[in-house]
Amino acid sequence: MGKSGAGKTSMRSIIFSNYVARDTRRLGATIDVEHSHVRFLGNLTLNLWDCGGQDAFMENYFATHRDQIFSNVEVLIYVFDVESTDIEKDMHYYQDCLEAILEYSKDAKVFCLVHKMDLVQEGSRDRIFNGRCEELRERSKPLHISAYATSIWDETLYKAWSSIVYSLIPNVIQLEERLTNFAEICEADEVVLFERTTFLVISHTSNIAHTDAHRFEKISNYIKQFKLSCSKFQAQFKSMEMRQPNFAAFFDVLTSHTYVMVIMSDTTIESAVTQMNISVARRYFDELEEGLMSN
Amino acid sequence: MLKPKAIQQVLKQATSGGVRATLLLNSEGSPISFVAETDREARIYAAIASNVWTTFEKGTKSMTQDDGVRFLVVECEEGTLALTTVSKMMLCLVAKPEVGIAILKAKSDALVRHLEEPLTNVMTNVS
Amino acid sequence: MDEASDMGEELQKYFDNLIARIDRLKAITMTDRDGVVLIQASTSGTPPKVLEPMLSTTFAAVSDQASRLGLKRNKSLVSFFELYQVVQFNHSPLITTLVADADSNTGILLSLGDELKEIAQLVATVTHER
Repeated sequence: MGKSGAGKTSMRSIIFSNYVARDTRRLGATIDVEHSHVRFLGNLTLNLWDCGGQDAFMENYFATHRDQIFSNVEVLIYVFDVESTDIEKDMHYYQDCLEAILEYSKDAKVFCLVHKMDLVQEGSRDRIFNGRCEELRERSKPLHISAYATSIWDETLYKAWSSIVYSLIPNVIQLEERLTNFAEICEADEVVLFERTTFLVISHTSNIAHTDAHRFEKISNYIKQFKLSCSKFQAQFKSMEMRQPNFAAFFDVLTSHTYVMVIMSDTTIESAVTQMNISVARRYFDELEEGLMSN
Repeated sequence: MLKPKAIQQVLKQATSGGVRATLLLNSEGSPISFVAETDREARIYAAIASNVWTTFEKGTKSMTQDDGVRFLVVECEEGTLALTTVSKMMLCLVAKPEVGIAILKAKSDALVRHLEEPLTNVMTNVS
Repeated sequence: MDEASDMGEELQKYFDNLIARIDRLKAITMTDRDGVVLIQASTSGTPPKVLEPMLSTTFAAVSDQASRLGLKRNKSLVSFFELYQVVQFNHSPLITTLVADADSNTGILLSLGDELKEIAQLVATVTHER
């Protein structure tokens, strides 16, 4: 949710419909509510209600469709335009929204995305975001919120959405355990699990420290762009291997809903073993997905 | 799953007493693991060994009524290659010319005994 | 011509003797690289397919590949089957093939290599002249 023009549909299009950032200029304003759902790791379905943000619709939600829209909500994702000229009004709608959530789905997790950060000068981004964050926390009480600064032009969008998705996966601990176990056996430094269509990071395990905290989101972004370029040539991206003097990286389909990235810094380990291990791991992770379905 | 270091350890034990290189290859002939003096040499052995095995197996397929060739020894002027399969994979030893067939056969059999169970487990799970 | 056929008879006798002399040796052939048999001897228990050209042409292909290992020229190939073992020599331009029971002594079969090499050269010269 969020005010008209905040960027909700652009965001959704990039993450869930394979748009690249510049394509979103073609999108018009969302009329009423657009409902879409994305299947995730078996039968975990992410229902997205992209609610048009114009005043007329906003009033309508709170008045007439209140129970329909706010019941059974797992997460509320509220998008704020950082450049908005009427912060007071934004906050007013946001608080109305929270009231409705408290009434119908009090256990819902709330994510606030302070969007269009690319329009803010780089030097002042942190200061402005922290300020907004503070205000949002204050105004959200008694609910706890998670806030992210986002932009469709860089990896911050993936970071935010990965956290959202992560909070929704029921057996994430089990998934992480399996991933760690897998990494240990095949002697990998790092294993990252991506959702197959969105390339959002679902889970990861690593035994070495990295300096770049945003590397997963960057990778999500790059691989997705690469996958999209592949499809222009009617080729379906399936797997790739990159070898550098000090490490090798493997991307491959893992289950029907995930991709895996395996990083090996011991370059004496042959590619064929890692590929074989990924292949064996498929069954191991398929079981987990099937488990999800029966739950 | 296969533990790369554990497999290499097993191959290392066989690489002694005149055996210069030991390689485990997948069914396409790519090395799974190897112990050799140089990387280059190992890749040449891998490529040729898998070619030799496939050519010979194809050529003698209908010759006997059994499962076909089990063990091959290729003797060259400066070294001998011993080849066998273990659970759809190929095992290859390269030895100095003075190493006899009996020793190569014994080493190869010992490796097969060590590797058979773990490799079979993996191969049945490869999807 | 007479001289050649005398030699042919003598070679045949030598091969027959070899089979009788070496325990569990079932067959011996000398062919060119296309598998054309120049001389052969076998016992009654030899599986007929072993005597077909395929075994020699397969060895010719394998031997060429093996010569690229970086271990110089290929000399011989020993293959083990459930019931048989086959020892093949690269006696360029000819190929000598010995078929024996699986449990016969491979060392003895291999040690025949040098002796057979001289014969192969002889056969090659004679067939070339013809």
